[in-house]
Amino acid sequence: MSGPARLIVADDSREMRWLIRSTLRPWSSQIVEAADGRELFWELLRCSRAYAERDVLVVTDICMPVYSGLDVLEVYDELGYHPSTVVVTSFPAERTQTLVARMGGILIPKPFTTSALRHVVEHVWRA
Amino acid sequence: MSGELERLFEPQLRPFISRRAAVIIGAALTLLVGLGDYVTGADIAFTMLYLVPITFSTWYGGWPAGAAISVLATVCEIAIAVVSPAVNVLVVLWNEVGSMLMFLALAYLLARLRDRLAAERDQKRVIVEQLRHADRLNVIGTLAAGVAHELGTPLNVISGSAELLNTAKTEAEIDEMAQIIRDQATRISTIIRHLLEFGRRAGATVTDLDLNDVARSSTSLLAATARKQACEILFEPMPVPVPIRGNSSELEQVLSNVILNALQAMQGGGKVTVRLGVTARSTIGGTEREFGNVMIDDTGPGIAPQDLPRIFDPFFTTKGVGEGTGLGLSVSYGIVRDHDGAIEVDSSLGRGTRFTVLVPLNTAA
Repeated sequence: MSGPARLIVADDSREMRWLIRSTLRPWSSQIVEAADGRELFWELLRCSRAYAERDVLVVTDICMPVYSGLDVLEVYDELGYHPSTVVVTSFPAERTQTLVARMGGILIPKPFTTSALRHVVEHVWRA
Repeated sequence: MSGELERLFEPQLRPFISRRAAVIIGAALTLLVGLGDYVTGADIAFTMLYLVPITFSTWYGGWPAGAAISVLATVCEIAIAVVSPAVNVLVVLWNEVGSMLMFLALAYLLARLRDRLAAERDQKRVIVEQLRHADRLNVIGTLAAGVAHELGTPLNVISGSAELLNTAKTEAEIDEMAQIIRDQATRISTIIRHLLEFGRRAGATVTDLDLNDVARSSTSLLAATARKQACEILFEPMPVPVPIRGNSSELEQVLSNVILNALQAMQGGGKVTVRLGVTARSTIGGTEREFGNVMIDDTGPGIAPQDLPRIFDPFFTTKGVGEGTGLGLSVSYGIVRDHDGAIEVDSSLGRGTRFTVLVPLNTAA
């Protein structure tokens, strides 16, 4: 099964981005990284111009410098651009869970196993 | 109002004599007054004087002691009336029952007042204790969340890399993953070492030092870092030695931490001034004490007022993840505190920040 045309990995930890990228590399070749909320924002803006929302998948952390991952996703939710979304967080509060679910995403708590991450991402992508 | 009352009576609320001693002293005073009463026959004045032992024993011995002394005073009065030249027995009884009621009423009211003050003081102590507890919990909570986040990420990366090792196809990939695992393990042990330093720092050797030298070596250590960031460090030592006692590497660590924070705060370049001085501060006992100080001024963006109370908290950081552990200033605080010194912060947004590290002057040198 082929992956998305564009996969954005947003996390402020370089190693975490590396882990996510390495886990999903066999599945999608078009991976870009964002190290904070601002970079995620711009990356999504570029995607929204070049790709339809069904071709894009975002894997993002919540607690990041500048803007949180949720802030950025909410902005694009408002604008009506809904890429497939997986949110990774160390602090999975119930409020966050509902918010992510409302935007059609799935929340997975840290720490995660690479197989769990792959499973969730593929599930979200198929949906 | 009750607060003022409490302050007024606070020393008396801490009984410096036992309940039994209060009763004995009260009884002795009563008998003394009774003797005077008998000798002089000045009835009314001595009725008033009985109030002294009653008040005393009530305050220090509580309601039962006060009541006992009231009864004793009445018995004294009756005895005196009986042995005195004959008066109408009914009048004597009428008088004495009246004064006993007065005595008891006074003792009761006093005991009530005292109990209320004591209860208020206890309540205040409980509230203060609760506040302290909440504060401790807050610190522990911050600590736990910090540990969870700081250690969680590298642990996750390690376990993830271990899983990915199975799927690695080339030698280079395996090498990369092994390197990542090693780096993350190093990161974890660094965090743990910092944590231990924050918690327990004993056994550091203390020597006679010149604060000028300590500041000079911290400053020169960071000169290269400063140049790389287009920053400048100005060093202004005192023209004479500033003698202190302490552990030089620990104090260097403190100054390096503060200077490094200043450099990191000035992303667009700027100037850090490290200035030595001697200053007096009054200590808790109210006595003046001389301190050697190192003033570190930067021209950075300043610290937001809401962040200011938390900068010494473990794991509090405004730097990005991986840049800082949030332990630098809390470790520094611990070190300076162990030197009987202090760290003062003065910051205004947009203008810059001044950290002053104070270490007691070694006057014996």
